Amino acid sequence: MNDWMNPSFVKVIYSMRWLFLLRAFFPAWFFFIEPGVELHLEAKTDQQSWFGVLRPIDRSIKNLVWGAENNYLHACRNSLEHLLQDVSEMEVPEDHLIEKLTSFRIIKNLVEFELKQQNRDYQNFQFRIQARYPQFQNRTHEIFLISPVYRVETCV
Amino acid sequence: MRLELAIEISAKLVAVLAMIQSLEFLATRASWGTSGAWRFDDLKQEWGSSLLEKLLWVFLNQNSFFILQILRIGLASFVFYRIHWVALLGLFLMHFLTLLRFRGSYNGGSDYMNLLVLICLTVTVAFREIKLVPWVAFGYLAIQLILSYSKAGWMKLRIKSWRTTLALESFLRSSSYSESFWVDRLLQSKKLLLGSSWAILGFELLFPLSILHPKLALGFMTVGFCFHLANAYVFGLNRFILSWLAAYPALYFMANHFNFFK
Repeated sequence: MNDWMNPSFVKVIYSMRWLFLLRAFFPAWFFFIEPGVELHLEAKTDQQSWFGVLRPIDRSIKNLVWGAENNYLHACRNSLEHLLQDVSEMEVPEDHLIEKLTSFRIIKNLVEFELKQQNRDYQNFQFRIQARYPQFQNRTHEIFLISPVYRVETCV
Repeated sequence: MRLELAIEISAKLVAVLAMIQSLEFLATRASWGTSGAWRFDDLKQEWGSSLLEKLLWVFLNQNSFFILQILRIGLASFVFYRIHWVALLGLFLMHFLTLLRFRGSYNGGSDYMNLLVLICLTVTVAFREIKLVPWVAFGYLAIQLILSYSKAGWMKLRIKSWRTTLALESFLRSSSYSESFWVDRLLQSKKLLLGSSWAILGFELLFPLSILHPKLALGFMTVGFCFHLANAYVFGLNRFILSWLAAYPALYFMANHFNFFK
């Protein structure tokens, strides 16, 4: 078997998910086409019940030039979509496999980071992703994913 | 418009964009640090081979990435005053590495346009002596610019909620965005919403006409600038303004040469 065909090489190529960036040269250009699902990241600590982790994106004239905070929030929301996509592409979406996903780790880190930024008092935390469907009256939301409970010491 | 002027305007705009982007990354550096969301240790696992991992570590670990952004600001400042294809290629590579660092999660569409502008500019500047090359490179950029509006417009037109007020209303009402006096005013008037929906559809669908004449191009580019300003305010997409503006000189250059009404 040629080197380029051996399984480990194929695995390496498959694992290079960042190759999707090459699509930059042939973009799809689909923006704001259909109002669909809104993903919301919520967390729960031993001190507080479920609350939204991410602030809303600020609508302000000053953000026309400088949008560090808004762009960070966009990246967080895009990361939620990446996780949704990764899970939907899994043949067997079992919890222990989902936890190994890079996109899951990013969201877990994000929750931890945001909790620290917001000076929340906690020892344990858990997060969930809620999918909301604002355009449907009879199906307003569903829980897409709930994480295990993490202790702060084990997460740092 | 002369090719040299189109190159100069485009290069200055991408340079300013690169500076702003890097300053924004530096302002939010805690989010990609060792306790942030995009930790290098978690990201490296999907880079596959150990050789690639080591190579990317050189550029993308926390300290290197900080330096990379400083260098990018320096290189962008250089491009602003002196346009050289090596510097443009450098900006392209730095932008590509920056995208890798965040798994492409920062502003998708604007990043793609930014990469396209940078690579087309690099090729144009590097091979400007070969007559056909600038035409092909700027032509490709102009086509992608036109497609960026017209494809999106065509997709929207096929969706019923865009032909009524529902789609725009749904995007504007999204709880992902803060409340705004102006957006609330727009949401209160069905006529204004319907007018806005059709104005967006009309602008995006008719944009290909801009290639026919420089005055048409100028008109569409002016509306496009206002469109991106509105998007930046309403949806917080400030990076789209300069990304798209940087591609406009390519369109104007092509429109000048086609000029079908000559």
